[in-house]
Amino acid sequence: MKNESTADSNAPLWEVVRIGDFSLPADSQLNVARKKWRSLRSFFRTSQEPLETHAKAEEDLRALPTVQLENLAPPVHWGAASAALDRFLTARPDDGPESEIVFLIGQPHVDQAAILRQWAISRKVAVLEGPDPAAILSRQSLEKKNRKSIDSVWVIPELERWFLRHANGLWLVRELLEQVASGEMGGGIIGCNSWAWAYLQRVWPIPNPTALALQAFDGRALARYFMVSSLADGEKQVRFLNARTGEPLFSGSGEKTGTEEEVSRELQQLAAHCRGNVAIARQYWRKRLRTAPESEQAPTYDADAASLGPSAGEDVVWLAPGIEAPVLPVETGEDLIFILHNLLLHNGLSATTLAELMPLPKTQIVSNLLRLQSMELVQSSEDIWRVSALGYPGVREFLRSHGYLVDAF
Amino acid sequence: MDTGVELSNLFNEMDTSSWIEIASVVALALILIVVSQKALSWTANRLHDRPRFLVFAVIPLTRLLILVAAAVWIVPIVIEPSLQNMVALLGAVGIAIGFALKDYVSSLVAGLVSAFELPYRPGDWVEIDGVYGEVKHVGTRTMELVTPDDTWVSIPHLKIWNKAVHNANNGGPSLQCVAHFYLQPDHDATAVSQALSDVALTSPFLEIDKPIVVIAQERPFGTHYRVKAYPVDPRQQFRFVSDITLRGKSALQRLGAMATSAPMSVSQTSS
Repeated sequence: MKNESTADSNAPLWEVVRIGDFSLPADSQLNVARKKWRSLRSFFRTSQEPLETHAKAEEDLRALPTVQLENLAPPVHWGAASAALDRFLTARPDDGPESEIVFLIGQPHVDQAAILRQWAISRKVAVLEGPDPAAILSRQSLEKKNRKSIDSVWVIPELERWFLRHANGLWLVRELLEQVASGEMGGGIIGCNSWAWAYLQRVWPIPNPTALALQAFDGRALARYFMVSSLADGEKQVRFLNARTGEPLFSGSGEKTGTEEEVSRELQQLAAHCRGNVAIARQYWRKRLRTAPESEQAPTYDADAASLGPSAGEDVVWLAPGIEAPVLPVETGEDLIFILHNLLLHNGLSATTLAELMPLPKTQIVSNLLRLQSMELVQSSEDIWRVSALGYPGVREFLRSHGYLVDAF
Repeated sequence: MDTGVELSNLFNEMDTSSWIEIASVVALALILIVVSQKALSWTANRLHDRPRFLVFAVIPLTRLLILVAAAVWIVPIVIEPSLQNMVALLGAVGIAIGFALKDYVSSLVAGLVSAFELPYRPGDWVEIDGVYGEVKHVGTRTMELVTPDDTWVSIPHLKIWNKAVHNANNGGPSLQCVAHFYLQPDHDATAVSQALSDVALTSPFLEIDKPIVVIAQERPFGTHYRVKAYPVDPRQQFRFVSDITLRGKSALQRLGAMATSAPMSVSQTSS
């Protein structure tokens, strides 16, 4: 576990570590108790009534315009993570990916494919993309010769695109992993979604793999990340205040970082709730950012904090209290569970491919997907359905408590 | 005459307050039993995995404790609980039971034994005397199970004295399921075995950390394959077997392995 009080303020924000060194952010005992209370309440809940009640202060606040949200919490730039991967690989005492296979495991919404594609561009190495799902199911062994002919370092950004959870969908990944493990393909880096990784460990266990992951973001790392990303557009400085207490979440000046900074309990809780997943934390962050009407911009917290008030040219943004997490009802049927599980194992699927993997007709699958979408648990982009960032923590906990296979992150 | 006097001496003088107290204890015990049974069943049905079975196991024990507590409360009101009195009372009761209520009382006693030995608990999948189903309720005299055809069957506890109780999951979430495939002998057995294993491995019902076993056995009519695997939840067993069977047939068709149908006499002996 990272020790926040002694964290080095100059340490790089993005860090790639071996999966054995991956550590989840610590959660406070108070928050653990809150979670248990929420879980108990949901246990006795019979309808879709919301779990969170909104504080009056939050009702007085307004959602931020989309443009401002994009400035304050822009999409995650995976180039920094790619640079961290490069740092890790070059710092290793051994020969690096030229001589062995390295796996980069990414949590849901952590785009390990983008990280590896950027690394491949910077290192000018070949990228091997997964075939079309239909080609896997029809057992077209077209690419075997091509893979064997590779004689330099290569990158497979998405191993989860090389298999389907179908009786006819495992042959290709087995063939690939067999070639990889035997050394036939030389050295390279394989990216894999953490859920697919958990499943593939049962399908074709790789002996002693060198598996890496992005280190989890704790509260301090999240504070640094949000602060840096909010300053990215170079306009006004922003002061983030807790809507419940009126206290600053962290310094918005950009001058104080790391150990000098008091990290808000809100951010520690957010880091723990998102299991250190920066992409998911960013979605929660965006969802909770609020602004006050012009006349109420000045914060009204205690006098000691007056020095922390906004200065000229500084915006105040409020963080609404509570984590609005969409949750699955306790009595959720297995059809919905199977859909969510398959979406996680494959890091997103089309409804057509999903119909090939499920003991359900496509019409019923589409209907269930729309139902899950209305519950904010899944989202669709370019015909690919994924478990939403906001829904992921709840879905993961639900699947774990029901005995389904979950990832190790 | 003396015997009648002695028997009447067993019992305390019963006034109105005694009767009210007994009625109150009985009513309270009944209310507690009903409420605890419903609350525990409701709770267990909202849980999953091992906690579900732990709560189910508590149900008959809770009822037993309430009944014992009620009896401990009521008996001293009715009789003076001396050794002499108890021996005389139990002797009289024993004679009555021996003649008229033997099986009834045997079931009650078996119910007590089953609360401690736990040959079945609510949530278990058991076969008793040729009846297979999920145990829904373990009562004082009987246990009730629901068969896969949704038929409620009430079975007296006394069956545990002399009948085998086949418990498929024994209070836990692990229940092995078996899907059968019968193939003509001329096929690639290795490919078939791998395909059937993959069928189970890719089932959404599968408890993935339990082993998948494919057993092949030569029979007079062809090759008999059994796919053994575990579903995540025992309640999924029939849908799990159906899923393996349907997708297994598709996989076998792709491999060109032809199904065979056994003569009735052979199939009966092989199962």
